[in-house]
Amino acid sequence: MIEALLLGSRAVHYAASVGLGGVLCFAVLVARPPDLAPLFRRVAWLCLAVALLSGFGWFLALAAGMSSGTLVTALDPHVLATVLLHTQFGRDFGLRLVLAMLVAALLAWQARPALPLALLFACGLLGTLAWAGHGADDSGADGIFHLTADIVHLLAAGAWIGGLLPLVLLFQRAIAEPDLDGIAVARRAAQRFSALGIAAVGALLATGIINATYLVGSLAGFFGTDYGRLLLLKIALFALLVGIATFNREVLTPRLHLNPRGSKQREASTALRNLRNNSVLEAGLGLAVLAIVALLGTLVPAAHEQALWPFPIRFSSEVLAAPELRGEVLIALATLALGLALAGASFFIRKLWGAVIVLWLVIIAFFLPSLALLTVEAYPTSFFNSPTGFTARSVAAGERDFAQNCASCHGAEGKGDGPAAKGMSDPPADLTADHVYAHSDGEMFWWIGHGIADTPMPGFSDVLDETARWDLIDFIHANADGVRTPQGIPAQAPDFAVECPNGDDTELNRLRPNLVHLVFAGPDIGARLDALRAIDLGGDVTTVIAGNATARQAFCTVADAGVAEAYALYPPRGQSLAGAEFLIDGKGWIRAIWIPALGAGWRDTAALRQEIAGIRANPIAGPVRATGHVHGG
Amino acid sequence: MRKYPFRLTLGLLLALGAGGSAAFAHAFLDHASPAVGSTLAATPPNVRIWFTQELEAAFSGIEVSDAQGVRVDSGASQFAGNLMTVALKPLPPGEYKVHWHVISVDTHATEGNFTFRVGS
Repeated sequence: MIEALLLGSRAVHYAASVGLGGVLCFAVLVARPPDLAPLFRRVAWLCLAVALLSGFGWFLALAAGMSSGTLVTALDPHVLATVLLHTQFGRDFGLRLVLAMLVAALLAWQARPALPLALLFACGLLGTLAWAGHGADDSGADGIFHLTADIVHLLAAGAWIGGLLPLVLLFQRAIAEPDLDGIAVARRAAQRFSALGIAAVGALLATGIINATYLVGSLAGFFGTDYGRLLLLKIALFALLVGIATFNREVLTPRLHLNPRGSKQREASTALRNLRNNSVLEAGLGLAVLAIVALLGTLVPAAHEQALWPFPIRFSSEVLAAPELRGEVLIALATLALGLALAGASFFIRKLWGAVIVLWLVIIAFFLPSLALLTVEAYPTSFFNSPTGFTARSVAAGERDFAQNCASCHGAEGKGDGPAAKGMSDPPADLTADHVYAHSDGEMFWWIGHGIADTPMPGFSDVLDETARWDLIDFIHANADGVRTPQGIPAQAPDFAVECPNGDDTELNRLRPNLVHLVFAGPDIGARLDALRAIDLGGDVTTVIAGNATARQAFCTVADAGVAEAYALYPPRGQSLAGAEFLIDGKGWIRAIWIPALGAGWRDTAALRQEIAGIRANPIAGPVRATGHVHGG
Repeated sequence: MRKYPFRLTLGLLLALGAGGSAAFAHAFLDHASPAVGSTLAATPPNVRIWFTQELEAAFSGIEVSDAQGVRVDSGASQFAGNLMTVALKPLPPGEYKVHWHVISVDTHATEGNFTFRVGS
């Protein structure tokens, strides 16, 4: 009930605000024939009244939702006052109420400068709707950029979609009272509206792309989430609208001859009727778009959801790394581009249209097998992002599950050499080999859950829940990294909670951009702490102690489980972690490891300083492996 | 010469769009102190949660309870932009559950839970 009121009043409010902005914009910028002026004014009054009513409905529904009550409890003056005075929506609502009053005053004041001023405030009324939708995720420059895009998007929609109703009224008058002047006025209005429309379409496209980048984020987001698919529907309706508008501009408007005689006169009056009908259709499509907008504003944006990939294949540029296939693919791509260029050129040579399109289709059919090389098999979860954040806890949990479920085939260390693997014609994958880095987390998630067809790899969705599968993937990555760290190859440091004397820093990753000197307690930890207390490694180095609670007074300490298990993967296998020390750079890479078995090493402060200086001097440009953007509960 | 004011007005309208600032969309937990799932040696003074959005203080809050479900927070949550804080009573060793519910400034409601431990 509240949901329905919220959605309905939102949709109506958007439509009325767009209508108000549109009719005033039309009157000021496009045409305002004296005999239509009173009608335009009535339309503006009607839109304003509907906007006010639906605005109150929206406010009530929101107050009910926020106070988690019913519409009756939302009428409580205390709740209403709180929402109005102490929420951003309420303050925005108040501002919009003032703007509506100003528009009303200016509509009532019939003097000449009133109309442009009314348009100005109506634009304010429309633009401030940006505050009630999904604006920028982040505050700061990014937020202002996204918000600006949102406002321009709303204003452009108002100028175009909102202007359709007055345009229809103008055409209708020219049809009802056929005279030469009516057709001339209609032609001039259609041309001016078309110019305004082109500007609006350009603005809608540019700002729409910006919004989609923030809110959808990826191709998978478009196809794999409700939000994305609804947005695709909106884009399809938009394309249809642009198509109709282009037809109106290119074909119908030129037929509104200025001094028609005989057949030309009939052509002009038919064109006028068609223009009116098309504009009514456009306005209907525009209303459908606005209803979708109202719905989109209540959904979680695609960028915050796991996208379920609906296709059996996905794009992949892997093939370009294979020298024997690269040429074939590049030739196909070049031919395709040439075909596109030809098709574009044929737009200006209209006689060649058909021939070029047929030629292009033939080319595509011929090169399709080569282009198919640019795709690889995909799964519904191919674009899922891991929700774990790559923590020591998830690596350790994954390690336990691996030993129980995977080690018999893949081997205790994941090298594909488990006891059950002997005699398999299709041996299990070596999970420490380079191919591990070529697969997305989402692909591995699918294989672990559902197995790999035509191989002995079974699915584990009955045994391992989703969290366990993500943990397993973190372990597989850490395990493969651990094969490489003894050779000096940096690895992504698993995150863990810390407790620092300042009380502010709470996670390893939040200590960035500082370097972290991670020290595991050994038998001589007391002496080591004394030594570390006495030296200063620099303001950009934070020392974190693992496995010793007494260090808490002077150092940051590990406040998490699984850290010893996870970090034991990185020194050479079989070495104890007691007394081991790690250096993790400001981007989260494990850059250097020292263990007591290596001799004096970092216990010599000069050697430790030299190691740190080396890391400072050779930063790694990229960040660590991207972790998911999906938010847990 | 009617074209000139037409273009000028259009330009002005588009320029008017550039202004204002705000933070938006659903608010999710960004990070917390104590960290989600962490094990602390002693009672932290408070629970602090940073969100991805600014919050509506009037309709947001944190409740912390012990394993028996008894509230161990001091009640009223404090707000500063995207940070919400609630003070804690002294906690004996054990596991504690944090429940948060917020409404972001663009009116969307979200909620969630996490746990932390005191003592090992």
